[in-house]
Amino acid sequence: MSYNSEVPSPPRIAKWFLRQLCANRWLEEIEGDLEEEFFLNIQRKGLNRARRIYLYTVIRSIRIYLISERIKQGQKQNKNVMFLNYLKITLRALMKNRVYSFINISGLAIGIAGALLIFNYISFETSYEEFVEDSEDIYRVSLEFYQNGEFVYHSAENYPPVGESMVNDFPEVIQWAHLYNMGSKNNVVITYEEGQGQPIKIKHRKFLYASPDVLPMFSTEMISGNAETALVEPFTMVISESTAQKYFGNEDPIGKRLRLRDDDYNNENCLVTGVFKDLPPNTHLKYDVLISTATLYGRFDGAPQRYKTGWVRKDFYSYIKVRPNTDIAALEAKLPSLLDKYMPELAQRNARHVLHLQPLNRIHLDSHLADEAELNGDAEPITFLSIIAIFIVVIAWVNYINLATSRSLDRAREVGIRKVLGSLRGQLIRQFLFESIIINLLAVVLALGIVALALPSFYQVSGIPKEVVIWQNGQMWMMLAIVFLVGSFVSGFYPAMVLSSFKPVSTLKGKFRNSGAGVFLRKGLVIFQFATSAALIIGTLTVNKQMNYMRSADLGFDMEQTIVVEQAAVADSTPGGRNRQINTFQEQLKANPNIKAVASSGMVPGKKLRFQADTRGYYKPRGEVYPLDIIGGGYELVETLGMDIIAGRNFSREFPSDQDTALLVTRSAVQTLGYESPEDIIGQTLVLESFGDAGIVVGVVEDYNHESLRVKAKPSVFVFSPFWAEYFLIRVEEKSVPQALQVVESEWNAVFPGNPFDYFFLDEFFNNQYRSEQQFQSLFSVFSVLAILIGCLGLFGLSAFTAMQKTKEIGIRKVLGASVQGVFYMLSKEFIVLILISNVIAWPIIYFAMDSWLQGFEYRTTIDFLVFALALIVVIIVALITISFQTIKSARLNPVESLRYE
Amino acid sequence: MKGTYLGEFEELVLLTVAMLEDQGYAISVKQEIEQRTYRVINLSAIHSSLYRLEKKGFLNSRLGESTKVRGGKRKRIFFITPYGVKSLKEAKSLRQDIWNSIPGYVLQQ
Repeated sequence: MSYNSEVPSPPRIAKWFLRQLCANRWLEEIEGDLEEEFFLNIQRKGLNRARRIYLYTVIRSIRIYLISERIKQGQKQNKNVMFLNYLKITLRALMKNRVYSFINISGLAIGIAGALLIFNYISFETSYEEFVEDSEDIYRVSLEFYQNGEFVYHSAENYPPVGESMVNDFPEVIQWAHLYNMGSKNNVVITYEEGQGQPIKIKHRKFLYASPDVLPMFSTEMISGNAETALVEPFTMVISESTAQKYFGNEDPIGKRLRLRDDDYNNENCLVTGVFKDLPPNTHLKYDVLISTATLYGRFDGAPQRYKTGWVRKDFYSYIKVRPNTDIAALEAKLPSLLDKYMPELAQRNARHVLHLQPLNRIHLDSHLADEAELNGDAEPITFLSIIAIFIVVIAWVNYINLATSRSLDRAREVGIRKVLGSLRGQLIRQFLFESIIINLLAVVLALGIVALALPSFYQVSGIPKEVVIWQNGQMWMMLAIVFLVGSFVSGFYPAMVLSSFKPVSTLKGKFRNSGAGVFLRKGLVIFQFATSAALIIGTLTVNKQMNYMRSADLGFDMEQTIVVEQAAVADSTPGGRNRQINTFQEQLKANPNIKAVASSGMVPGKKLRFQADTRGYYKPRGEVYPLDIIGGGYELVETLGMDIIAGRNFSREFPSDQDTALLVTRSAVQTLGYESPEDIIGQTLVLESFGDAGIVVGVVEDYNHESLRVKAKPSVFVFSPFWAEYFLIRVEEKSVPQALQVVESEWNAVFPGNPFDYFFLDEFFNNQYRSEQQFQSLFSVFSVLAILIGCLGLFGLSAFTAMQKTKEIGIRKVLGASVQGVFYMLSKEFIVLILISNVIAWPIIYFAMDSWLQGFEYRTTIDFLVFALALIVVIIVALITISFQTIKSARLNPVESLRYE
Repeated sequence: MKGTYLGEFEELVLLTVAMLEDQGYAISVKQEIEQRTYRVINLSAIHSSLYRLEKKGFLNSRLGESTKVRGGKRKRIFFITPYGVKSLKEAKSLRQDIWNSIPGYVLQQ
């Protein structure tokens, strides 16, 4: 707010509104009283509060006595008397043609409701990190890696010191923070041991190690504890409000201790130094427990180097904050110098890094890197849906325009009479605009009702968390107001112009017919509606096809009837004892006839792999390495997952040496490492440099898609390690899943006592990766149905009107011997032509749109031209059914009746 | 009864206007009531009561002088009418009657 005059003044809009509200009789004194109070309040409470109180008082002044006084005053003006008349006529017209009114209002309402729902989805998806102060100045530093000039990967994670070095070296970078991700990769259990009764144990996935500045940088709202200092000391932690509730109930969590254990034998007893308000759902970095990174430094000798200062392992989410208005392109251009300074050895290794700065609030929609903290959303469906939302509203308006102008015959006489009695054109325009406002208002109210009814399914389909209350979204109300205002005027203006232009003489003589221009416009609008419908049908079918393709594609492994059990958090404390447990569990299961195969595994398809090893062939120069995904598994892993061996052999008990040295590689790893054919790599020694390990390749496995089909299958190496048992993969007989589950559960309880039994099915888990596509698919389908529905409502009204206009023609034709079919054909022909045209227009547009969507998938289906034909047929059938209600009725009418008409 | 009925807030406003003699207008009435009752009252509520009381005939009004602080706008000064005084008295005596009928021991509590 800025005001140039020296005398402060009340909010102008409030003042204006008061003038509208208040009858002249009282205006002076009420305005004076308010102003006097305003100046008193400025002295007592300050200008801003005074302005707010002024506005509030004006709003509170909306009272019946004031309004009735105002109306009394207004009634003396003719303009206002007429409004009452307009209202009466509007309601009469609506009641007179109930079907038209229903079609009109419900069409508008469905359109507005659909657009509102889409708007809410978009508004949620684009609101990520909005709650973070200065989020526009915060960037994540991502890492792109090239080996021998070839792109290898682009990761969301980075070297631990990257942020700190940027603060040291570049003055425009003012703050850094980084987080080390374990919860979503490791098996972490946090226990409260000091309370009364049984220790409380909870498995945590949303758990991260965080540097001290994480809390202030992300504007974390603290309930207790100090955000600046809570994570400075080693063995300190902050937890979310709901986590605190779980461990401590109503006790004060500050000063209590929680013990963390994970399957890497880490055991850390941490002091709770802060509680933060549960994070809102719209953040890409979700956590309920943060432990200070200083805790990591004591893990082993050289841990500070590993977790803080070393440029070796790249597994920290790194964020920086820059000064406001920093030129980011200039800063990015300086980043190579940082790498030259701290990693001079890169050039010798023939490798190259590129650092990128990702704006914090674009991460959710734009970033699809390796090692993301969570599955991110997608900007493209958002664009698609925005377009659909706009189209749906426009279709609904088009309907309104269409119906209103086509019904102009009905109103022509009224217009004639009004003109003869002295109405000016401006007044008539005002009348019809007023009518359009009333209809839009009814539609808005109905739309809100529809939204309220559709809300439960909306949450389900869109995947928006239920904590997001859409009614509290101010932007939505703004958008509703805009749709209402624009709708009232845009859709009301053309009919108003047409209706008010009628010549009284011709309308009253009854010779009146619609003009050719109006017909042309109406046809254009129908074409627009059906082009949209056809495009949406084609889009929906193509999205479905891609989804089916992804679900049924050959992933290189088999995930049917496979149960996955995550390893026990509480196991024998000695490695030997634990290995025996792992063995026993598998042996017991193998003995059961309901179970086909069992394997312990270091991975599960659909979940990011934890480790990458910089790998080279033994005879390649040191440092010329490629990062390969590392998969740990025993003898049965390849078999249980049904993977194909294309050269060599699987790990085998017949070769005792396998236990020490055997490796399997995937087909793409063969090429990556520089071997010609799969056979060539058999028997070769590979060096896993970053693991300080080496092994001999015994076999080559066909490439398989460890993650979704959006990305290419990655070159990987299987290391023989039967006790790296993060998961047990259990393939069961198709017919006996329930029995097999029972067996697994009882064996689990026998071998790993004290661990809750939990399992999931591999196919469900894997397909969960397509959640955002599924949401897109459902939204797309729902809204294409809506668009067709609205289009049909319009067509229904229009066909009724056409049939009515041609009543006389139909009568004459029938008298002259036309059959019912002939008349039906004559009435439908026109619409069929329109639909054909609309399809032809829609085809190229939707083809390019869907093609660009499919480009986002590494493995994709083709656009099927059959789908185009199908859409055409569907639209024609739906349209024919819609218009047949009217056309059959008119075609069967007795010609005597129809000729008597008029 | 209709028309003579006084609401609690209306009675307060009416009493205050009577008290303020020829100084009673919306702002002064509001300040007086706020000071005495420790309530926060919105100016619009005072306006609405004053006009209603005037309509019922309890109050009379005339336009007063304008001051600079009011942006040069005149204020409406309210006076209590004899009819207003009468109904205040009636309200008071009605209450007194009921007070007198309350058994003594109840008031001892």
